[in-house]
Amino acid sequence: MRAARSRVRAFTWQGVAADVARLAVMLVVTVLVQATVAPHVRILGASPDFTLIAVVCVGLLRGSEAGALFGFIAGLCMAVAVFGPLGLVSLVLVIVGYFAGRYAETADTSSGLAPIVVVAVGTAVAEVLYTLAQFLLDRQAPFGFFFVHALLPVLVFNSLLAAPGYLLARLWLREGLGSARPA
Amino acid sequence: MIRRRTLWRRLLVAGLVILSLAVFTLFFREQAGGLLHGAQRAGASVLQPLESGVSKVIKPFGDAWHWVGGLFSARSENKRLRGEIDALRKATTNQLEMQQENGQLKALLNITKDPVYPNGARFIAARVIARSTDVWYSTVTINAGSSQGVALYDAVVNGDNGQALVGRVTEVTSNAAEVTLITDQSSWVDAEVLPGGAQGSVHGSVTGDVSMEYVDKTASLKVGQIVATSGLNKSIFIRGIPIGVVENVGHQDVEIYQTVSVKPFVDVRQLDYVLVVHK
Repeated sequence: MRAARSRVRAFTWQGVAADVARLAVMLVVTVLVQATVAPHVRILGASPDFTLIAVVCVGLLRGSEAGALFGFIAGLCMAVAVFGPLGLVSLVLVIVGYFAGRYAETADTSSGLAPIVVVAVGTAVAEVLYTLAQFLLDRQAPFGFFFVHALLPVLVFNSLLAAPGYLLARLWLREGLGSARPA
Repeated sequence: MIRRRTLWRRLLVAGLVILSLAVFTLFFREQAGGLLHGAQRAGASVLQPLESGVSKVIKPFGDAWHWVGGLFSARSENKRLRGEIDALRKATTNQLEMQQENGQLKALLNITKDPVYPNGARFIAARVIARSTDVWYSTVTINAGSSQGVALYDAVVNGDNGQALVGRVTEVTSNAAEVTLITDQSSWVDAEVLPGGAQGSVHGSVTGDVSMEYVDKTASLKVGQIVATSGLNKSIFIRGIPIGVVENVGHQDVEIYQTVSVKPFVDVRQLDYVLVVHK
């Protein structure tokens, strides 16, 4: 009880400002890594989605509102960084961030597998949503290609990177302030 | 209190979803000079120095990664390249013969020589600083923009003496530009097969394959022939920029055109430096 209490710091505006600053730094670093490093790490034509992993981590560590908001801003920044269509990635990441946060608020995430499972499910949902959006934009690909070159490699990549990514995010965000978990 | 929190949470998420959908819809409906495109360009100008710095830092690591990756495919790549060299050698011999004949005929007709890049064409060297990260788009961001003389729809060739077409500029900011590669599904380039001059349009795809569409069914094509820009139909591309080689020719009786698989000269996944050709 004492340990749990000591983890939850008292609410102060300085604390909130520091937390927002940490999230902002995390956002910029993630977007830069995704735009410049990720394209070099390709297997079967696909790259890991660091942005999605970061959004899931924020959702898990800071709750559904923060997850959704971080996802929205991260999506806009990604679209700006690589001249992608504005709004599409945001839409997908808002949904992923929100549900990752809801999962943390309603289920036990103390297991080490939780971030891996949430990232894997989030990746699958995100890839299906991207594909649906691309279908509406008249960019079509055969199902086999989508499965082998879009869904499967990203799913494997993201699942492998989920645990180290979550650990890094947890260290960086110093879990405790504004914790999403219900009392 | 809990009910109010739940309501606030749902309102926030619904608002963000609606906002995303609105931005997405407006972005596709507005013109290239619209508000959202302008905001994107302004944001890109801010991010460009950071992307440029990070891409410089990670370049040695990226090269090392490609080098290790290249070791696994070196044997098959070597075999494929030997085949390609044979095909190109034959094509070059044919071309040399035709060039000689062409020179003699031009001398007879007193026609002036028309180089691939016309007088006044300017080359702007740029480095690739970011790339699209999903399979749906084939675009790269380069560290040269309107300040360096890059304009919308300029052709982009690879950095090795302008040997082959890479794509075209589709978005420009003051110090950065987006290049849509020839492998992108939205890319269409008027092209011809050399020798012979069969006309068509080179088209990219989500799968990364490049094909030449709308080629006359009666045109006789062979594997290994060179595909280059035709410069027809007021094309944004100058005539004669090499694109790739014919890899496969397919036609069915029921179709009025034949489709040609093209293997691009440039491996667009490993672009580092490019040249923007400003007419």
